[in-house]
Amino acid sequence: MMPFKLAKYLVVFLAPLVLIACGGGGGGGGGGGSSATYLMSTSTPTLTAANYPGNWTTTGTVTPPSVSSKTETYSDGSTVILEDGSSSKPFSQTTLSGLSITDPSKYVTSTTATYNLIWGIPDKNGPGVANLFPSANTHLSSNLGYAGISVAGQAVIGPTLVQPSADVLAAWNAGWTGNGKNVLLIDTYANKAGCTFANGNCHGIMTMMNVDMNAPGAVKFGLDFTQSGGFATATAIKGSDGGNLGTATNINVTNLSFTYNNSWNCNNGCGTAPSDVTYTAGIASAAQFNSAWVNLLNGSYSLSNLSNLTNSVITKAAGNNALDSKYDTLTLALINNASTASRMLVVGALDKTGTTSSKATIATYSNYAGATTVISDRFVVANGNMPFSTGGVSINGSNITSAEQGTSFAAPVVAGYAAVVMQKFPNLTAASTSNIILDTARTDTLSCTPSCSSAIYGKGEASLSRALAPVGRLR
Amino acid sequence: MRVFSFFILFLISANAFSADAFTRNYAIQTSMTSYTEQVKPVGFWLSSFSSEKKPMYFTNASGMSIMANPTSAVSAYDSTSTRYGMSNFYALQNDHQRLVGHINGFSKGELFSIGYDSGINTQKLNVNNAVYAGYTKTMSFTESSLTAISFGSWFGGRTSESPCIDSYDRQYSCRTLTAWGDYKPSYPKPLAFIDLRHVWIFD
Repeated sequence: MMPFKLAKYLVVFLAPLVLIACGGGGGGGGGGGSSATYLMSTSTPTLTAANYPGNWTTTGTVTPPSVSSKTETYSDGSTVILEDGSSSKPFSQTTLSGLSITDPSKYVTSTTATYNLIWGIPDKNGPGVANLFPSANTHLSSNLGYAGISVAGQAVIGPTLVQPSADVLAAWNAGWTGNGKNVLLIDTYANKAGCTFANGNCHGIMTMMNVDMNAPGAVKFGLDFTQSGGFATATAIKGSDGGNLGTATNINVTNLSFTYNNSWNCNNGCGTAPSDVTYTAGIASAAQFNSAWVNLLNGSYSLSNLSNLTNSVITKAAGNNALDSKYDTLTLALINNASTASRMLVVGALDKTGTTSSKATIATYSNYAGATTVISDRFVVANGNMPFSTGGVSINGSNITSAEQGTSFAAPVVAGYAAVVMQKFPNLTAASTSNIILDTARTDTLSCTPSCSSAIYGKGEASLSRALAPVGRLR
Repeated sequence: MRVFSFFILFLISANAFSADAFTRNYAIQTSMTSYTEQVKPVGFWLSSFSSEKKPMYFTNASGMSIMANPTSAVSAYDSTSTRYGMSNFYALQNDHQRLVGHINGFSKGELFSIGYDSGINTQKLNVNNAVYAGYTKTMSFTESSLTAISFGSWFGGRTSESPCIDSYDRQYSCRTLTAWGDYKPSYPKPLAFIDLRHVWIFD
C-alpha cells in the first residue's frame, strides 16, 4: 500500500500549529510548506517617486522638508553639526530613513539646490566631513577646526571645497575614515594663531586639513619643526582639536612636507639641478638636520609626548623643484636608512586626481621619481592641489588668494589613505601598509599610460580603493 | 491485521530547498494513510535521499540556502581590481548527502522519522553534520475527520566560514573580498517544527 492515498478525503484545513524557526531563514507556509525566501540575496532598493515625501521630487522644484538641529560627537572628541534646521545641508541617513528615502543613489532637487543623497550619508566614525558640504555646490556648511584654528569660508562667495574622489567617498560612506589611527604631521605650527596665507605660516594647518579630507576619522597631531632650538626641543604635540597640547602615544602615520633648505631649492619648479660638487656639499651641510629626523623616526632619538614612531608609515613630500627626487636631501637620508626606508612613501604631485576617463599628469613643479631605484621603487603620485578653489577658504579670517598646490599637499593625501587602510586591516605593520600602497598604485589613471616611466611616476598614482582590495595570491 | 513491510526510496532532485517541506508533508500523509487503511507497516524505509558534488547553492540540513557556490569574485572595494577564482576554495571535499527515513510506531498512525545530513566541507565553508528526529501521530476525534500532529528537529549543522587571506595576511570575506572584520553573515539554521493537520472526510 502506497502512503499517498487520501484522494477520497477533502483537505479543508491545512496549517502548521507552530513553526519554530531557529535560524534566519524563516519558515515555510502551511503544513509542509516551504519558501524560496531561504535564498540569501542582496539587492539595492529601488527608489520610486512614491518613496519621496509629497513635497519632494527628483525633477521639479519643491520646498525642502524642515530638519531639526542635530549634532554628533565623535570618538576623538570632535563634534559636527549635521543639520541645523535651515535645510541648507544634505541630510543624514537617519533623516532620510525617516522620510522613507531608502535609496541614496539619487538626487533630490529643492527650490535652491540639488542634493546628492550619496553625499548626504554620514560617515560612521569620522567627524562627518561628507555632511559639511553638499556636492552640488561644494560649499562648506560649517567651520572645520585644525589645531585650534578655524577654517571657514568667505562670507561673500562662500567656501568651496572639492568633493573627494569616488573611492575616498566610498570609503567614508562605509565608515572607513581612519578612525582610531593617529597621524602626525611634522610641519609649521609656531605661528598658527597668527598665520595667514600672506605670511605663509599656515602650511601645517593646510597639510593637516588635507589629511582630514582623506581620513576625517583619524586623530591628527602636529609637531612643529620650526620651534626655536630645533626639533630636539619641540615637545609640543598639538592635538587636532582645540589646539591643546596632547600626547600621541601610538603614531600610525607620519607626514613630512618639508625638507632641508639646500641652495638649489627654489620651491617653484625651477628644475635646475646642482652640480655634483654642489650636491655633495649640500648633502654634507644638511646631514645634521636630516639625521636628526631620521633618528627620531627610527627610534634612535625620542621626544616626550611621542611614541611608536618606529612603526609609522612615513609619507614624504617629494619636493617642488621639478628635479630628480634624490636632490631632496631629507628624502635621500630617509631612503638610505633601513628602518625608515622600509616604511617610506615618497609622494610626487599630480595636476589633479586621475581617473580612467580623465587622466592626470605629473605637476610641472613636482620632483619626479628619478633614476635612483631605491627611491623610484617607493615613489607614488597624488593630487597636489588643496581641496578648495581660489578664494574659497579662509584661515584666521585670511582668505586664500590663490589655489595652493605642491607636493606638500600630495603627501597628506597618501597619509590619509594609509590611515584608512590601517583602520580597515589593523594587523598591518607600517612597512606592509606602505608596500600595499606601492603595489596597488595604478597607471591607468595617468596620461602616460600605457608606457609610464618609473623614473617619472614611480609606481603610479596611489589608489585607496585598490589598496583596500586584496593584493597578490589568495589563500 | 495485515502486516506490510516495504522499502521506498525517493530520489529527490537538486531542488534542495523543499527538502524539509517534502519530509514534513510525507510524514503526515504516510501517518494518515496508515491510520485510515487500518494497516501497521513495519520496517524502515527512506523517503528522501540526495547526494551533491558540485551544487549551485550550498544548503543546510533543512535544504535552506546558505550561499551560492561562487566561481569567482572581485573586491567590492574596486570592481577593476583583480578577479580571483573561487572554485578551489569551495570545492566539496565530500559529497553532500542527506537522507531521511521512517519507521512505524507501535500504534496505528504513529511514525518515527530519522535523518542524517553529512554537512559541507570545503576550504572556506564548513557545515557540520546533522541528525534529524521526528514524530508523527494521527488521531481521530470524530468519525468524519482526522487530526495529525507532527514535530521534528534537526540537531547539529553549525555553519562556519573562513576568510580568504591575501599576500599581506589581510583577511577578506571570500564572497565579496571586503574586510573580514566587516563581514557579518547570517546563516539559516536547520528548522525545528510542529505541524498540525486536520482533515474532514466526505464519503
